[in-house]
Formats: sequence, structure tokens, C-alpha cells
Amino acid sequence: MNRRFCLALLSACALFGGSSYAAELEIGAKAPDFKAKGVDGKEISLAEAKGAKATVIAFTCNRCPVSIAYEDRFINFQKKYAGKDVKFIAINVNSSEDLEAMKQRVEEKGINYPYVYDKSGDSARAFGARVTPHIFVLDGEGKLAYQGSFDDKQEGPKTAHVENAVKALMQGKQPEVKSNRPFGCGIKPNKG
Amino acid sequence: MLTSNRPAAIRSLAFAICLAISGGCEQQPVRSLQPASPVSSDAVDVKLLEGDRDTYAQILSSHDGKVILVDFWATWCGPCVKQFPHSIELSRKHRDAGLAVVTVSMNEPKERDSVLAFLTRQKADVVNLLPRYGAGSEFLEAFDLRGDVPFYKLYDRKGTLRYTFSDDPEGIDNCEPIEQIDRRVEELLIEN
Repeated sequence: MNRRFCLALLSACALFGGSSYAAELEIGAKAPDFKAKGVDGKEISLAEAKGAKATVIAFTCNRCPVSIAYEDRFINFQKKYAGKDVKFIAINVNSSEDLEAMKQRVEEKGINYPYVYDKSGDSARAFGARVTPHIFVLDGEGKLAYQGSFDDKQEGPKTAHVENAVKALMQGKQPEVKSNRPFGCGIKPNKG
Repeated sequence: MLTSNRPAAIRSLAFAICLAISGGCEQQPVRSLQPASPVSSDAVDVKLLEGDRDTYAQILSSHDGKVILVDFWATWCGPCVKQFPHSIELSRKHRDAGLAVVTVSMNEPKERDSVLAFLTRQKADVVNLLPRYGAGSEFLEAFDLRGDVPFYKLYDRKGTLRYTFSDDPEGIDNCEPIEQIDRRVEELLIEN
């Protein structure tokens, strides 16, 4: 029974081009476009990033305690960098969540960045997001400059990977640390 | 080192490991859970080790000759919590045949009490480790993990890492869906 399930799973993976979650986008690769709906009902896409020197795409969600632990850091980041040619977009793809709950979270937490829902889950697959939170930083040309965790540690972080990457991009440089392993809850999008 | 399968030997394993690691015991890594009042007869002795990657290596080598299943989990991870009882069940089922189950928590060290409370509710009379790292890059590097939990590692009797298991096994060598754990454990147990 288990074996049969497994084989079915594996063949399903093969059918859908390798995996339900594609491999990570490579550093330097052009970021894929996406469509998602904001808590204000407005559709947004990668066009949002136009003109920015750095764009931070954070795959996150309402429920994962690791994501919740990072909300304040995202809010502070947005306070510091909004209006400085830096965009921050948080995308939720979890099939078990919805815009209504996200809206509530935005209100109760005072979330100051665009928090959008991609019901299709396509964005997570295209970027290769595996966990919440999993962060992708794009340069001014929309190419991937950093992917991984927001910083090095949930409690008492010492290295602010995303902020360092953004600072480098603002100075026209590529980040020193381009990739590391994100940690958090497994991402659970609708199957593509 | 420990060839006996007697429960008493297993119960004292955590303490033995602690003694074996010189200098690793300053902070009393092993605290007994037993309350002052007499324990009921079906109570199991649940212990939680604190430590780091060296402690982990020590745990593995102390089970030389056994098949070792390591369950990487966290209390904040829903799928981990759901799957955890199965690891304990496997331990009970195959302990006499030579299976050792080790659990490693990605919780923060300060969450020790809630981790121990969970392990106690689960009657997790296996080797339980709460590393000093907490969720973050250090944890992932120390245990060579991708970043999402639950994640499992299965070592054969010679101590070689043979399989890993994940909800999303794509992209990792020898990584299989979680449904395969039972089958692989049974295979390795009959290997010499």
C-alpha cells in the first residue's frame, strides 16, 4: 500500500516536470513573474519591482511560528527601506490559508508591507520556495542575488543576510553571501 | 558500547552519553523528569539531552552496531508533531531487533520545558537531543539539513548514512518520502 502510494507519488512528480516544488532558482537567473492578490484586493505581479534597486520576495504565512517570529523583522525592514528604491513583498501560498485571515493578521499586527496571496502556488514553485519564511532578493535587473533565510538565527541573529544583500545591491554590488539554507515550516501550496 | 537491549540500559543511555562527553556536562544536560511523588507504573523515563554536533556524533557512535533513525522535529512544526508518535512506535516495535531512535529538536534552548513536556506526553523513551543552536543556519549546518522539518536520517549498523526522508524529497540524494521509513528500517535491520 505504502509502496504503491510512493510509486504513484514519484510518477506524479515525474509527470509534472520533476517535482511539485521545482528546484531553487539559481543565483543570477531572471526571477519568474507571478500573480498574487493583496489584502486590499489588488492584483500584483513582478512589475511591482520595476525601478527598484533591490526587491525582497518573502514567502511566508500566517500560521508558522517561525514566520510569526520574523514579522517584526519584516516590519522593521520595511520601515527602514521603504522609499529607498527597495521593495518588500510577502507572498503566502499555503492552501490552508486565505486572504480574509491574512487581512486580519495585517490589521492586528500592523503589517506595513504588501502581503499577497497566490492561491495557485505557482510563484512558490517557480522560485523554488521550500519553507516559510524563505526569502529571495532580486537585483535591479530582476535577477536573483540572494536566496535563503532572512538572517542566520531565529533567536539573537548575528548576520542579517537579507539586509546585507540589499545594502550591497543599493551600492551597485552583488551580495557577499548569495545563498544559505532557509529554515521554517514546510510550504504547502495548492498542487500545480 | 551498549549491546544490551534491556530497557534499563536504554533508559540510562542518556546519562551514559553525558558521562562520556568530557566537559559537556557543566550545565547538567540531563535532568530527570521524575516528580518527587511516586511515579505510576506505566510512566516512562523521558530524558532530554542538551548539546551540540559533538553530542550528536557521540550518540551515533554509542549505538554502534544498531540501525539508527533520527527524527529532526520541532514543537512548532505541525507535520512533525503529527509524525512524531510514529517514530516512538517504531522504536518500541524494533528496539529488540536493534533499532535506536534519536530525536533532535529545532526548538530554541529556552523552550526546553515545552519540548520536554511534549516528549513526556509522547512517552518518548528514546534519546532526545535539544541542541544549543535553536532554529537557524548553525543548526542546519551542524546536522547537514536542508531546512525543512520533519526530516529523518537513517543509518545502517555500520554507522553509514543510508537514507533520508522528507515530505519533499526531490533534489536530495537518497531522500525518499516519509512513507518509506518503515520499509527501509526493516530492510536495514536484516542487513548484517
